[in-house]
Amino acid sequence: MSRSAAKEQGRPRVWTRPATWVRAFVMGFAAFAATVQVASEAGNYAAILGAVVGVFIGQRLGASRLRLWPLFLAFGLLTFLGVSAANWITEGSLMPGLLGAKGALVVGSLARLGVAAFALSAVLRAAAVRRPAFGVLELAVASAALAMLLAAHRDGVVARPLWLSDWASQRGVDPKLALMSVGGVAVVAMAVAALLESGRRTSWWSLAPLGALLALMFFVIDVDDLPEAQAANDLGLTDPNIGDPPKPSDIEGQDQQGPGGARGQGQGQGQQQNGNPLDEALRGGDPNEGEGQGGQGGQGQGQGGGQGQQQGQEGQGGGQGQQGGQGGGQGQQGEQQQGQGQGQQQQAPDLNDPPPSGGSSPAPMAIVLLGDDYTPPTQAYYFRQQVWSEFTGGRLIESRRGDVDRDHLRSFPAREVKSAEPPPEEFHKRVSATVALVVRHVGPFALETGVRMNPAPNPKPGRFWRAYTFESLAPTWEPEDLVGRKSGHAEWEQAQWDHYLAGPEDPRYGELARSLVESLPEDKRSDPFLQALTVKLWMDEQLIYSTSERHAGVEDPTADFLFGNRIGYCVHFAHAAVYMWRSLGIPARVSAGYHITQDEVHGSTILIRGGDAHAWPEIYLEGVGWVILDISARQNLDPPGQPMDDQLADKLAELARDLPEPGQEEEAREPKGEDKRDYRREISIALSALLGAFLLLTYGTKLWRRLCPVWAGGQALPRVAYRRALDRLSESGVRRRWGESRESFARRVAAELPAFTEMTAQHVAAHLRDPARRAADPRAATRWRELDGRLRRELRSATPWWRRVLGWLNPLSFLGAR
Amino acid sequence: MNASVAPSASVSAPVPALDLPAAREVVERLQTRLRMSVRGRDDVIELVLIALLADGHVLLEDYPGSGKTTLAKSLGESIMASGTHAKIVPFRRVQFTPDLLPSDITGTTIFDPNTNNFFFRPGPVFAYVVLADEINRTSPKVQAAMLEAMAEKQTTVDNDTHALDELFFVIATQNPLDLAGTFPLPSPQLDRFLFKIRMEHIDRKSELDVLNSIRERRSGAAHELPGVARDEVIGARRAVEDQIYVSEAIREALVDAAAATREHPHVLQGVSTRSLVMMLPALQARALLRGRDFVSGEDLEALAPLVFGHRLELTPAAESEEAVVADCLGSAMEKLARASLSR
Repeated sequence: MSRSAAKEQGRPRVWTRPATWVRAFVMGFAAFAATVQVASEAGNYAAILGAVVGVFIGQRLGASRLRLWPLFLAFGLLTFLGVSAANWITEGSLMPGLLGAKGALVVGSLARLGVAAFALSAVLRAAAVRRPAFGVLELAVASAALAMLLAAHRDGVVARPLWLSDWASQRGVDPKLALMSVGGVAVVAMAVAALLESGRRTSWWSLAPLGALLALMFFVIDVDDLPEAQAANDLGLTDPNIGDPPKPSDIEGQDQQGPGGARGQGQGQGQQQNGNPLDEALRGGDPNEGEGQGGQGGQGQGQGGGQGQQQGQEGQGGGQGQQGGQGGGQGQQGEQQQGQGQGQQQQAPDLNDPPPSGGSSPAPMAIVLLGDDYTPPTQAYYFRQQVWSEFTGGRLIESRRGDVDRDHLRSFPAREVKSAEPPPEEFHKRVSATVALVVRHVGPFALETGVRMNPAPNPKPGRFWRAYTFESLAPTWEPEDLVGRKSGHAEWEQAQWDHYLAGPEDPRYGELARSLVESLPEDKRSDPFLQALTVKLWMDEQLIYSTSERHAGVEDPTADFLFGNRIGYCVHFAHAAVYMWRSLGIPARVSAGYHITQDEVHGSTILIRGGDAHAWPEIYLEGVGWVILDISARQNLDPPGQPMDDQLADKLAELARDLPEPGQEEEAREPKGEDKRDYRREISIALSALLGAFLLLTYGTKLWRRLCPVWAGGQALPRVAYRRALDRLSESGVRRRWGESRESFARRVAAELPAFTEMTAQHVAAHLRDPARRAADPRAATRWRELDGRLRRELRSATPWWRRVLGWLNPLSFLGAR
Repeated sequence: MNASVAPSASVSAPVPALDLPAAREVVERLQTRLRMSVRGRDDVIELVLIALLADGHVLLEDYPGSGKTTLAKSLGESIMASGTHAKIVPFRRVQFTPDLLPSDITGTTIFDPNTNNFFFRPGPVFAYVVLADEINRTSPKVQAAMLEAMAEKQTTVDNDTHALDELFFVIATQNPLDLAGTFPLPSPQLDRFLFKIRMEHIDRKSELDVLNSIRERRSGAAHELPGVARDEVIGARRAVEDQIYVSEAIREALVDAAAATREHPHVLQGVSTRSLVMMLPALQARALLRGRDFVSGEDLEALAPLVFGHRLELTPAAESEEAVVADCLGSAMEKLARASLSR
């Protein structure tokens, strides 16, 4: 009876078994899924057909008496032949000549895909029939094909393959549901096949949980409400006069804001009031803050607002051309920064002075959460984003040289980045902060001077573009500290000096500067800081702020501005100051970024808006680094801005709350991030050290066990020598079974390793013999050595070389010697 | 009447122990003879010799016509009486039937009208080797008499106790299949047997050998080979007991294995301590047969199924005796084997 049953099993009823049909369906579907994106229709059908036939053939072959590896080989060869034939058909000239180009392509893909799909599914099936574990491979191939089909999806936007989702959409079905049903059906089909194959009496009810899971998938995965990348919407940024580029005619009417204008007032006013005492001038805002706000607020306000505005306009102007009028608040803001960058690269003098197409925008650009208490000496926070130090004839641009501006961090951190040339710790305080950028920026900015940056997790990806942390050495100097210092750095080479002193050949800058310096007392005339300050104060007095004066279309807009009507905005101011300082031999550069005044800052949260963009001049003083000497114009022609919309302010506050609390939590987080990174490195070091130690230990053990019979004496010899023999056997994969006696083991391998039997006898005798009768054998060492040599020879002839190599390499082989 | 005819080996001077090479030579002589008579049963011959040297008895489970009588007979015939024991014959066979009486095997007291006296006529147990054929076919009373003889090496007839020969060795058989009308041996009686050996059919080559050697064996070729003296066997027994070394590790393994049988979930009743006591000489005997002067784990591995198998009371869930014994032996054997690699 059992024989007939076996016979029946031996001749599989391939065609009538439902499981084979289900598998054929699944494999055919998998072939379809894998080829639908890459093959022609004919190839597609060929693949399906090949896979289906392959399942049946594989089922048949699996039940045959053929060994598995010749099957693998044969199908590998078949695939190779099919692919080569396809290549020959499509690339040669004979077949296309006979069948026509299209026919040749069709036949070629039939050969290529059909044969490949056939071979793969047949070999998988045969292997799975022979060894159930290979069934997993089959399942993996099918799921991989399905995954490929759906892999084109991103961010839950399930739309590929397009023909399927289009088909679904045309019928009013959510394409995601349709696609997920495809996956669900495939999973169920595979499960059904597995059930049918299992041979055990599995209830069909076991499919019920699977169904429940699928249902759960459809309900839990929220496919109807796709997240749309419209963070700007909740910010109110789609409001036309914020997001969209306002028309030039709108500027005067609506684009001014109060808070933007308020910044910088203390500074500007202080300088003007105190005028003469040079050393007091820079912190002028400090003692006179209240007064400034009350008395000269209007002027300051206007100036500040104008500055911001201008910066915004510049960017927007650049960006606009690129955008081609495309709308969208966020994109607009992002382009702004790009435009700025582009303007520099093109080096077109015109771009220095873009048409004021937009006003200073209140649109939030970023949120900065200060982690440390810090009040800048000039009452203004400068966030440096770009450094323009290279003179191109028309203006200053960002330098590409490696030896200058090394203090500046140019690109977003993917991991911790550090400034190559941080300013000295003296006169500076370490301030750490987290920045969450609302809109796209071309580069990171940091409170001057950023010395270290780390990436940070985006607190709310829908709202923020990205986040990072920085640590800055923010200035704490008093103006007195700056007097009496040399300019430049002692270690600078001539190239760097030349770089920072390059300016227009126009002699008027130098003449003007020298004439200003001559007003200084004799003994202070050679002090670089006082020289620079004199120039700055003169400019504060003389210049007039207006964003409507563009000085465009001339060779040197700065000269046009400085020696013309002296009406301009921050970029002009900064350039003029730098040119004059450079003509005096003081290394100087222009930095661009954001500028926030102290009274705009509430708590430790700084909200940066588009209108805060600014450019300012800096000089380099030995021992202090780059010192900002910002120019505040005497008069602002731009109309004052309007106060910030309350509603918007609320929303921004809400935004700020989405970020983790500054202060302790912020502090706690930053080091944590740092630690984590450090730990990771340390963990990997520790792991590799551990691995090294492990290997050292295990290979050392192996070596020791291999060598110690050489010097082992009398009592220990039978033990260690036998242990070595066991090690050798274990490396060849021969191991004593659990509970087997030593002699049985030796008998088991005696046919191939007769020497081992003798070794076992000696070893066991040494262990179990009457100790009184154990005589010390002087020739024991020789005998063991001989036996070991014999065993080695026997092992060599009994085991394939690769098995022995694997055994040598296996660090834990000695664990099998027991 | 009391001590008149009782042949007694125990009263004679104790036979001195042989030295190991001599003992081995004795055993080899026996082995050669038996192998000549019984073909293809080398394993059973070895086990029977082990039992003989270990002073135990053997229960063979096999089919009729498998050579057990030949084996027992040629064993008996290989052992020659040593002078004084004239009354003891080398070999006796008892066919156990349901109507057999105890006196049929122990012997009986007979009135001699010439001397006007009762005298004891010894039964078949007064032999060196007794073949108790189909022991499970007789009544429990006869079985009990037989087993008393086996355990105590004495019989009691009419309240008189008669000692059997010191060599007394029983080979009992029972048919494993034909159980109708039998009295299966209860486990305490099974415990008297050192081994229960399940004999398989011999292989093709041996069977051919059997057919080819009929004439040779019938002509008594084996008889021309030297036999062994009874005292030599006794001496070899002593040698085995005294001179084959049993390491502490082996004893521990033995005890561990026995303890494992008692804790095994499929065992109702584990092996007795007596079985261990009986097994120790068997291990030593096997070591002698294998040419060793110490007991090794291999001996334990080989003999444990034969010694433990029939002594275990298994639950119905148990697969087979062999599987359970292998289970119980495993960890003890593993421990024993590993001990040789540790210092």
